[in-house]
Amino acid sequence: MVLGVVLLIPAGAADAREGLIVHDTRTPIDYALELEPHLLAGSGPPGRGVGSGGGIGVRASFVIAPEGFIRGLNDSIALGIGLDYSHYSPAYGFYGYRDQCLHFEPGPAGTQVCTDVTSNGGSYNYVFIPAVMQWNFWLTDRFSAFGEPGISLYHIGNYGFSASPALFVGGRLRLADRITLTARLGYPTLGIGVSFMM
Amino acid sequence: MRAFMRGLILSIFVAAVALPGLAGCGNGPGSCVSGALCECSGGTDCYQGCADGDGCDLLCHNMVHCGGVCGAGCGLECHDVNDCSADCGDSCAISCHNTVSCGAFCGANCRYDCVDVNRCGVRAGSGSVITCTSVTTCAVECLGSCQVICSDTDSCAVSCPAGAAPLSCTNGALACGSC
Repeated sequence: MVLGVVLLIPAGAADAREGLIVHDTRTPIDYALELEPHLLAGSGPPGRGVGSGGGIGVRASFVIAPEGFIRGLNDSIALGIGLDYSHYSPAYGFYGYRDQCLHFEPGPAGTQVCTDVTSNGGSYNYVFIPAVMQWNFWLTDRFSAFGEPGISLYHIGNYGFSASPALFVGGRLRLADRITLTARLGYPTLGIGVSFMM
Repeated sequence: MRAFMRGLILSIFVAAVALPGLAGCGNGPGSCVSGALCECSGGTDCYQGCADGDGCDLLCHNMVHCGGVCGAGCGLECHDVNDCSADCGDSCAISCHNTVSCGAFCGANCRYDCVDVNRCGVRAGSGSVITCTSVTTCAVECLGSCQVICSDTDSCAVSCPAGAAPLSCTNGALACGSC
């Protein structure tokens, strides 16, 4: 993941030397939909889970404002929605854990009986459904960067759906006419994949 | 392009329906796995669960508060703690010794042993056998037939379903249902 980002940055810098097109008004790739299958990694997931994990997913970003927000700048806006599956385990976490009692009930003889505990030690399968606004900056013919604020719905095992904030920054390196290598850093997951512009 | 978009939206919908089901597999509360002995000691609090639901062996000792939550076929033991707690399903074996209090809920066919404890309190399912030895207060709520064996206890209180009085058995046990 980090390697992907490291690869993207110098590639973008090299392209920058080839000639910035950031002040063009249209994106260098004319597309309505970006479809991006990717690999994921993450640590410290929202909700009950702990540890680190990895998985797979796909992101679909629908361009809703090809001209972007800023006149005279080569930006564009897309609405991104994804579906990611990730498995987390405390074995790969950065810290230890000890489960705690979540609920006590009174028992006979004045005792207190714990009837529910945290699940920090277990492994967790997450399904994330991120929904973000993707703000793209087309810096050169071959390199673009983006920021993605939004929200991520997530489903954990038997515990139903919850939501967490989502924030990503990323970059694309153009590999072919309508194909890019795309890396994304942020929370709740990191990702690297290949984008198909359609 | 339109057909592709229809296919894409359909794929996303199918995956959105299918993946939460996949995520539901193999999860339960707690860190221990079935068949493993999970030990917790030192510190103040430790409450363990069974990630696989059933069949865990949970042990805690030498701390202030501890306990375990588990499904069926579990073993829960604690000793040398202030407050011990156990909550489990059917066919569990619970053992508390050298604690101040030991509270438990267990299902059918539960075996509960409380030794050298100030307060033992258990709510147990049908077919359970409860033993209190060297205990100040032993209080048992039987939800079905059960046997309670008290020895060297200041108080041994047994409540049976529907307010029925417990039977005094020839072996010295108190029983709900039949001896």
